[in-house]
Amino acid sequence: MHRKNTLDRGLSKREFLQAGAGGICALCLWGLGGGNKGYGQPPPRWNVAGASPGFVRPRPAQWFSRAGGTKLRCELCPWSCELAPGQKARCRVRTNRGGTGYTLAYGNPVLVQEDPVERKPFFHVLPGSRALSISTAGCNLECKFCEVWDMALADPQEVHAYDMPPKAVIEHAKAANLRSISYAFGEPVVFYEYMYETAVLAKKQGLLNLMHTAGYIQPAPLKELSGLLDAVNVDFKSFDPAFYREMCGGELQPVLRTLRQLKAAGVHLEITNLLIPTLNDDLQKIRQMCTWIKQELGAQVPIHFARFYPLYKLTNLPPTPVSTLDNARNTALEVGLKFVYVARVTGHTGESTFCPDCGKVVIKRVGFVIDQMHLSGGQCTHCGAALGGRWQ
Amino acid sequence: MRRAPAHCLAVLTLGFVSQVGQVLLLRELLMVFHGNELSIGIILAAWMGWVGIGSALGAILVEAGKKTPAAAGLPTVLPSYPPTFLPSFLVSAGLGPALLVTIFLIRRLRGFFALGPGAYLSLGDITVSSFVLMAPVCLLLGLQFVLLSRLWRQTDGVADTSGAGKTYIGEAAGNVLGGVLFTFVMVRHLNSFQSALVAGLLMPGAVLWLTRVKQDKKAGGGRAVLGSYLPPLLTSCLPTFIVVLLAAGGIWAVLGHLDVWAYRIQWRHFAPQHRLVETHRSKYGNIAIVQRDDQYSFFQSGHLIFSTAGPETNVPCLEEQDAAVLAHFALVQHEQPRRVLLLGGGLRGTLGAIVRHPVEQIDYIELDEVLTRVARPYVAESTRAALTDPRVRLLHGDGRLFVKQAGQKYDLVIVDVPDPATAVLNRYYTQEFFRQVRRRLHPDGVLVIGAVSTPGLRGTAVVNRNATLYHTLRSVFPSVLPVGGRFLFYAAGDASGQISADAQVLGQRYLQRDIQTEGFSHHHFALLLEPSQLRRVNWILRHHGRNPDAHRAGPQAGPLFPEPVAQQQRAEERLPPVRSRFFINSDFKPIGYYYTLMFWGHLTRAGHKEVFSSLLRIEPWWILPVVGLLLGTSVTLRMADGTRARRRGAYYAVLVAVATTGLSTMTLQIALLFSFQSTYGFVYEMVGLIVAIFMAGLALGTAFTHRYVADKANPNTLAMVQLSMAVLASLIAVVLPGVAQVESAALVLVLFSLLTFGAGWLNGVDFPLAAECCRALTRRAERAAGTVYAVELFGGCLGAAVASAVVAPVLGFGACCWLAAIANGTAFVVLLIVRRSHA
Repeated sequence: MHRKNTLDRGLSKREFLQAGAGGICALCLWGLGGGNKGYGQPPPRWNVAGASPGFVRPRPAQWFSRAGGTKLRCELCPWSCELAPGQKARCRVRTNRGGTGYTLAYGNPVLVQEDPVERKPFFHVLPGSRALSISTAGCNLECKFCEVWDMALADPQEVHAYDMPPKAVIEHAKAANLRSISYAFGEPVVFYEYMYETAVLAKKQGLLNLMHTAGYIQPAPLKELSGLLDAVNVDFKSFDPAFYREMCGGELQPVLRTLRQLKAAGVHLEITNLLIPTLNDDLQKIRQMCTWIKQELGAQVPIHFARFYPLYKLTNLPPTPVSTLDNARNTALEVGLKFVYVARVTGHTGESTFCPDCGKVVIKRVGFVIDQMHLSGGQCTHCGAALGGRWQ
Repeated sequence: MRRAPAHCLAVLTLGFVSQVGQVLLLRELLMVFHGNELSIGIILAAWMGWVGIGSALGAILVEAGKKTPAAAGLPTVLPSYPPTFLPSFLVSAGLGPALLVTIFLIRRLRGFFALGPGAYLSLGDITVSSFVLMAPVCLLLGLQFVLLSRLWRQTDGVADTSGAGKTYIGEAAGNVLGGVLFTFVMVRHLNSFQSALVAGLLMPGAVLWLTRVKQDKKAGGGRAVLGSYLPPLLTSCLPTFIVVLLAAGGIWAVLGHLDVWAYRIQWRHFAPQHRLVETHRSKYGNIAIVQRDDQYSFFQSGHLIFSTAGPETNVPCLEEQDAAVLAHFALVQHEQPRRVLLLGGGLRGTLGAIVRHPVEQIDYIELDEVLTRVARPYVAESTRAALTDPRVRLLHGDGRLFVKQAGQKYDLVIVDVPDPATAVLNRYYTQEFFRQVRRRLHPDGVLVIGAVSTPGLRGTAVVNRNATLYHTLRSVFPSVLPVGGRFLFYAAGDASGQISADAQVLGQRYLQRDIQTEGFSHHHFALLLEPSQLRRVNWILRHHGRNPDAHRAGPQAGPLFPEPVAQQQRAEERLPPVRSRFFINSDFKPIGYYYTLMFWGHLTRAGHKEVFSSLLRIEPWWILPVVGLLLGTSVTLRMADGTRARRRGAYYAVLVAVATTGLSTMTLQIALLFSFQSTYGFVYEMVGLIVAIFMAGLALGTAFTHRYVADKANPNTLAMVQLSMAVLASLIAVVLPGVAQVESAALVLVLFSLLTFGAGWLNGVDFPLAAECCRALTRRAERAAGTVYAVELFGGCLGAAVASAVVAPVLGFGACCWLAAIANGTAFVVLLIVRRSHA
């Protein structure tokens, strides 16, 4: 069993949160001030007008345990990195500083953008609304087809980051009249503490917390987090363990465990499966995956089959044929999944939501543009059937 | 009298085989590597390096053979056999198999690396595999050069290096012949293995012919020649040759199957589970068509150039979404486009989308005729229909040349060519090209062009490249609008307000045209112009490139919520000026392709991205320490006493001159060739003509030395040649920008021909002089010839790498010429210093 909170001083979870809340109060007192720019330096003012290169806000973090001597073990994700002093974890953002576990991904998002919630993608959460997305540098996987490799596979010192503590994130979201905060585009697991504290504040302000993740996380931290989350989209990269090992540098089992755990916690769940030609587009495997989803997570879980475009290390691999996406969609429907989407083929019929009872279009989409909506209170206006999701 | 033609034939064949082998291996390797300027440079460097080593080894071998055959590792079964012929024949006989095996190994190459499908090899992988694979063929060619020089010298019965000089001339001529025959005959009719077999048979055939002639002479009562020593098998070479030809006929058929089989192996590693439909050889590179479901993908020289819906696809627009978005976005940037010019991209779906708009005329320019021909059966029905649309005029040729020469004006020009990965492709992204386009546009006309990007625009290389494209466009057009995510579109035009970032305006224009197409709608514009992304991209590109260190520091991330594009446009005038050295891409400073190299370095992430970034610091004065070192060494050598020391000093000076000749020849050739392609246009035959003129200059220069200055082979003459080269290089540096302004194509051709001939001629003059100087100092003809050939190739290898990968893109082609001038000038001074000490 993992220890819940294992800072080197033996800080308990409650103490940690109190410290975090205290910090936030202090920030409030400073007005726009707060945070540490560089370890041991006086806190600067927020600099949300622009970003600075290599900006980090090192801060003692949760989910570290002693691993003998001055070594620490990070228990946030399945890698369980053992870190000697000065060493960084695989994710590039968690480190052992003098025997204390620190995160370098706190309050320094590299990506801050406001855009439609469908872009995350969430098709069953507040359709047509806009969300504020944040993400820091770092990732605990190393996918050869990473779309945000210049952020996720970079050290925080290598990229420009905004000085934006949790409170600033909430203020921005409220000021822009947004409905949700989305921890997306990068890998939110690696900025766990930042996400956690932002989510606490968002919850208080009535904002939804949405997370898009690869799901590569240990059960204990996920359990702490899931109470704060309203919806999660998990990148389910393949049902083939070899694919996870060879193309992503990870394992399949922890992802399956995350999916089950989120389902059990009652969080609204959506799944994205990027279909890469020849690598994970085998229909048999897709059928097995869909069957597993239906049995373990339920037929109502929306799944998005996304098109691959040549990028990063696979720049010379052709894009996914649309017919492959069609076949995958048909397979998933045959298995019995109710909401099966095709993503990144703008104008495809599979972008729209169809009522599983009457078969009529409930939400007609073109990309993230909502063209028609036949949904009221989460029910199909044609037949009155209830559709799963966070509609309000 | 028949001996000289026989020798000519042998060395001509060596040049032919050398050229064919080089082109074959280059084309095969480019199918595996990323075809950028750097990988081409590495392959050529490996080629020249190994040939140089081969010739140095040849010199050692021949000299060892003079003492005792056994000591040279030669067969001892024929103790009375002279050492030169048999090795020459063995080397010739080894070339064919070496070429065949090398080609096969290249096809298997990806299998040796743990790469995912579609992944690029890293710089390290490319370097190692180029040097390993090139070694056997190049070593044999280098050896053969020295062996043939020796044979010729033996026949002439002289002790000087005239044999090497003649071989040098013959080889140069053979190179031209090889290039011409390969381009116009072999590439059309023979696969790589068959071409290799032809080359592999010709070389031993020519050597056998040489001995046959010698034997005839002996039979006729001539003086003893090498043929008299031939073993019985070789004395009856005609029957042997016939047997070999018959065997080759059988092998010929087998090679046809081998080619297909080897391609399948290659593509199994490259794109597994794709069906290799067809492969074709065009003079511009090998083309492969692969199929997966109803999608067809086209690769040229290892690049995925496009994927397209097949004839069986129901909704091609979905499959060809990128092309459709580009086309429709471009068409609605003009309120009423009547005449459209499309450069490239038509086959991937762009043309099919354009014809849906009510335009009157579409001129579609595609470079490679073979590509259009072989692609037709596999492209979408909508594209095939568009190709037969009466409004469409399909023309084959260089798009840039067309823009320069076109007599009419257009409302819209769409440039849909691959990213500027090479100097040739970079010509579509330069200031000069944009100026030419603007001249071809009506006053309210619009240019639309694009380049690969990343959604976050965070990496230094990708931002540098896109900011360079933006600023270069902006330096020509008053209004430029970048739009997109992983691919950025740029619409450029005058300030009339046609170009719009308003999705509603564009959607309205689209709807007014009543376009019937499945899979695309006016909603797409809202997606493309999503405000947060649009504002951020515009902010980054408009602001980047204005700080002194911007090219190395990467982009600013900008404010969280940048102002609307219209406000950004107005505010742009108040921003600091753009750092033009690093952010304006021009024909003569093609920084665009350097950033593409940098981007590739980031993608392969093998640790060399920092190297690219560091090389951006390059300054002209970096050459000074090298110059200082060379001069310092010569002064030190001058101060030493004794005959031996003086000789060492002279030897050093001659080798410096040889190396600088190799280096400056290569850098001048690169500067001239690339400038010619930018100024005249990329016409394969014309580029081939320029290369041929260089080679002709080389051959005639060597011949000139033989005839007129052979008895003046000393450091003084060599110094004068170096000085002449320095003067010519300086002259080229000065006149090159002027030549670029010349409008007349014929005059451009004449001027470039003259300059190129001059460079080749001086290089040709230099070689025999240097070889003879070297021989005078070492008293060994083959050692001198082999060493000079090797050192010149090493100089060339260095010149190719430095000029094409760094100096040309970062400092410009003028700097390449100045580099050559400084190198030759330094050699001149080194020779002067040594000459005085010698005196």
